[in-house]
Amino acid sequence: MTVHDHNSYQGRLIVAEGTDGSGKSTAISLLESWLAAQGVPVYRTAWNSSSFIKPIMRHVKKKEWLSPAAFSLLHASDFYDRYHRLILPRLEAGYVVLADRWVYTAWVRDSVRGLDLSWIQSLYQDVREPDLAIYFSAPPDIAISRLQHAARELKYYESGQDVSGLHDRWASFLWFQEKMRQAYLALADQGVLQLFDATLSITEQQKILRQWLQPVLEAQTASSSFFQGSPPISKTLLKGGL
Amino acid sequence: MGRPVRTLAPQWPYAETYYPGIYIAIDGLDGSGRTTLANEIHRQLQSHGYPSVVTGPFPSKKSQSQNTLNKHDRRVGPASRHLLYASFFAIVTQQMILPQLRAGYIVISDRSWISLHARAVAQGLSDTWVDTTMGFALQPDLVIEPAATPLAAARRKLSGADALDPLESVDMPEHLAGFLAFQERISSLLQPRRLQMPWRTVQNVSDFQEVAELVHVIESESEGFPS
Repeated sequence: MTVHDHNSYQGRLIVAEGTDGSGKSTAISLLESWLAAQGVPVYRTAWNSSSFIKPIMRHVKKKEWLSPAAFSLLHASDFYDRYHRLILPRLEAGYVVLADRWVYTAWVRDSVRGLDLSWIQSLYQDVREPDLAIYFSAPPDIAISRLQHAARELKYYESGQDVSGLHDRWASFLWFQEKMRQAYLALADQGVLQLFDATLSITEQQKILRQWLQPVLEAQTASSSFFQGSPPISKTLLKGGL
Repeated sequence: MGRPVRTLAPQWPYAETYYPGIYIAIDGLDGSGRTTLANEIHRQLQSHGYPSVVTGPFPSKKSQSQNTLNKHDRRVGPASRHLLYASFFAIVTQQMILPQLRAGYIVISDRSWISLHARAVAQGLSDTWVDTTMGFALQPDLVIEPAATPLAAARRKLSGADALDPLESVDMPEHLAGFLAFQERISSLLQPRRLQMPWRTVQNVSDFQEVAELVHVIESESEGFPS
């Protein structure tokens, strides 16, 4: 098998990580609109969204069959399907890929589920490292109030009931989210993720995030050459703020 | 006590450390007659009063049919596809194989990690990475391989299916030469395992007497660890 260094691809990979309800999806969506409005070729991808794996995921989650290992492997299958078919070709072609969760979600979730971190990391070896990986830090009570506001019903695995042993779904969710928050904070401490205050207003968040993105995207200017006649990413374009 | 739980990754964190049952893996080339052999061993064991069960690589008919759809679509790449198989096998291991072994059954695995591993590596994935993905898998107490040349395996495949499986092929999907080359790869990947593991080969899966002799060996093993 030919081995490619995916880190050498000219595209840019921006990753948003965080617990459920931390606001990362909203932020990613706004960043996508901002970049697209300026003619930047941008692509958004979300965790657990492979169209091929989804029906299987739904079936086995409904049956509550997934041990931590099976859960981890199935999400890795979903990831690699998107990685090889949807993400890598775009990174190679020079797109900006905005990822709503990356391999760090597996590191955090699956290790909280009791799996050995080095085993989880081995599943994702050789995966492209992000140019910017942001941890949306929000205390559990804010995240929970956001989810409750959305009037969304929690699911068995989402609330961590497969490992918490707690009957009450919200109580289990709170326990699970706090465990994951601690694991995320540890990654931020190690410098793997860049800590971001997700308690700020959405507008404030966007101001900061756009500043963070600028140096990452400016570095791409020289090598970007997109659809004929379409301008490459430029400092001028990216400075168009809120 | 019973037999120790041994996993591909040492010290995989399963709750139990011993089981009273026996774990038999049926592995070999695609089309070698694994299912025929597994069912015949199961039938003979049951008729002699030994509790046994046959498990496949999928946890349900629905998961198998969903997997078949993906397989025929051919867009899912080898890494994602292998991880899907590994996830299914992790479910089967946790939900079916281990509980049955714990209950003292003779569990006959129609495909264990051994041929899942060989297929993935034959499709171009890294040996060590595939090892990692299957770390949860149990090491069988006995592996039984239906002997088959690649050509014999192809003939058996074609007697039960419209065409050869496009994923069981090198370069030329559904062509005989591609299938034969792929099976040669699998056979060479199985070769070191044949020497390292408790391994028996059945020359003719339809030979009642040959299978009966093998069943006798399993029953003797079972007597050693009464449930």
